[in-house]
Amino acid sequence: MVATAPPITPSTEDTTRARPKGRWAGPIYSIAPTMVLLALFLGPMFILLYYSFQKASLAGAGGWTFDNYTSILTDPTYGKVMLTTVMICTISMLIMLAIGLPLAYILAMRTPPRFELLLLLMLVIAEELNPLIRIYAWRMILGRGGVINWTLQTIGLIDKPIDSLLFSSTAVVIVLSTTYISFTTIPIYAALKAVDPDLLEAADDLGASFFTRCRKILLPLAAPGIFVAIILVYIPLYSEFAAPALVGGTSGYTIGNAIQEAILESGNRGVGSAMSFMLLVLSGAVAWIGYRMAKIRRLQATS
Amino acid sequence: MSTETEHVGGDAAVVQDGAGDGVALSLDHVVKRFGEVVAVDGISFDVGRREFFSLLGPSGCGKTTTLRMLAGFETPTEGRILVDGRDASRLAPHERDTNMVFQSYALFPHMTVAQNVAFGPQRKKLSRKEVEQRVQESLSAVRLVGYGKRYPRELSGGQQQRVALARALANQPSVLLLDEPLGALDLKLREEMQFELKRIQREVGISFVYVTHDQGEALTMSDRIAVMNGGVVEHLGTPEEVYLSPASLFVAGFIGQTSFLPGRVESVAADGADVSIEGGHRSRSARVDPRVTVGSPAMVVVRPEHVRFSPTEPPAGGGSVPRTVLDEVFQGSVVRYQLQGPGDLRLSALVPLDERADVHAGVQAWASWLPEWGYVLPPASDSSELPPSDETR
Repeated sequence: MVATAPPITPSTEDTTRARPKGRWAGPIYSIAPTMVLLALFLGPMFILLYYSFQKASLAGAGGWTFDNYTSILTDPTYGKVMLTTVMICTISMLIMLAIGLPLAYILAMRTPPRFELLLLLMLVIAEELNPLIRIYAWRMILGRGGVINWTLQTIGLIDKPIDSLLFSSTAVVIVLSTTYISFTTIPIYAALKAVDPDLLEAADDLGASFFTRCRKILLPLAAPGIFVAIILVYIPLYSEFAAPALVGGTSGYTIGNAIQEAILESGNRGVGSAMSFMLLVLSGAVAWIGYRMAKIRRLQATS
Repeated sequence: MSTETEHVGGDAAVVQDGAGDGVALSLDHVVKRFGEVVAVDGISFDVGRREFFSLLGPSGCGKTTTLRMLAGFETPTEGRILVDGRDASRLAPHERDTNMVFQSYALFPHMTVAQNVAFGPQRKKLSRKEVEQRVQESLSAVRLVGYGKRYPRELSGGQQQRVALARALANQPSVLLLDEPLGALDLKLREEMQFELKRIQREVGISFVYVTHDQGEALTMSDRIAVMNGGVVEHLGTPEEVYLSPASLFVAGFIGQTSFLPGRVESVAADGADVSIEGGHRSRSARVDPRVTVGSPAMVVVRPEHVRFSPTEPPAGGGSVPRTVLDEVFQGSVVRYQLQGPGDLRLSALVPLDERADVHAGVQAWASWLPEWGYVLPPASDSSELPPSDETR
């Protein structure tokens, strides 16, 4: 029997036994990571959901209730905070896209290959700076005796320092919009890197100006990258609390601060959890809209 | 119908300009340098209206750089490029009346076929109706009517190629530039598309400048061919001229299969020249390059399809050399022979099946050709210019 069988057969059987193949390989391989995700990600989410429907009590759960949600939805303060948060996050995101899109274009299409890696590395390293140090650096720049006020006073443009530079929603926007530039740029860079440069030449050849080429060719093809950038940056911006707390003052108070205060300072776990959960649902909605706008499914079929 | 009128109108306008002498495009001593490297070294030629003009050469000969200068993607270092009699040397691609078909097709993946084709006309701010009409005309010219709503990825390579062509044609340029457009297609499709391209060019009646390294393509389609090498045009002529009377050894070797027989010129007369071929034989040639002089070394260029065999020395007239048959390969309609001469010199012969001679590998035979098929050329000044050929291989 052994003599007639091709020599390859036994070893093939061995590998089949040792390593799952075919239809079930995917599910079998993903069992372990799925369990980890369920335990560490979905688990806490359910705990959050559970607390959001519990009466406030220092001892823990105090019985089922909708009060947490109704108090958030009826209290006009939360509405105002939410509005501020949406404004701050959206403006920051738009600023980052305004910086990230041209930056990604330059990196992907206008940089000689030998400088490309270097520039990418610099972009990433700039982000590696500790966020707190970055925020304090901005405080030094924007503060009463900061670089900007000092310069403006020295050249005589203003008589006394501008206080609204720091501890305002503007300051939060400035800090946030410089925090996630690389997370905005790199997905767009990756999307643009996959674009055949001939497409731009073809558009140019057919009569499209630079602006038209960007609008009709680059932007639609960068859309999947923009979508990823929004997922990576815009959604986390909503839960940001360090920057608003340190440079926001009262006008830069965001939902992240409200959640932090509810849970860590007021000890109101129920309201904090409810706000977190509402934020989660909102994030999901934003992601879905982004997904639709990027027409990601259509473009996926392209490649 | 309206586009037809536009075309005629366009031509008429040029006639009034005084540039309507049938020239769509001219290059005037164009040079392109990239740093120290000279890619194009002073070329000049005119492309006529409705002419199918090919730039033929090996990779690195400057043909693609030339085409990119015509399209506006590169700016000439020196010299001028005139499109429709107007200096276009410094115009951006979107400012000049040329359109290009890319080797990679460069179809916009996020647009349908119709949107791709409409891209050019839309940039010209034509009305929606006119754009629609141009799209329909272009798609019907490339025989893709009904494919408008598909995406490029849903089409075969040949169909994508046609869309690329339709997109460039929709702009109704004076000159269409084609950068090895058939390079990515398989052989059979490539041959079909050669005739398609020629038909389309005749129908739309605009000049085509076609870049290729495939001499067969160039010979099949072109009205004229510019054979380029080392950044210069070595020969500019009709397919027959470059094939039968190549201006240089390079052209002779690059166009078609060629054997070179080195020798010395014995006499030159109005009706031909006598060359004594290395190895002590004499060739009478009816066609001689004008630069050939008596007493100087020369090359007799013989195409394999003109070589015939005889068991004994053939009567005088034409050329003949004794050779040993190295190899005999049956290729269907023809039989190919490799012949070993004195020393390392080789000669190949291509004999139609019905004229197959009674010679086989290992046999001695006389290879001969008629006077009109042995073209005499001066030898290359620099031996490195010699292209790969049967003799030098």
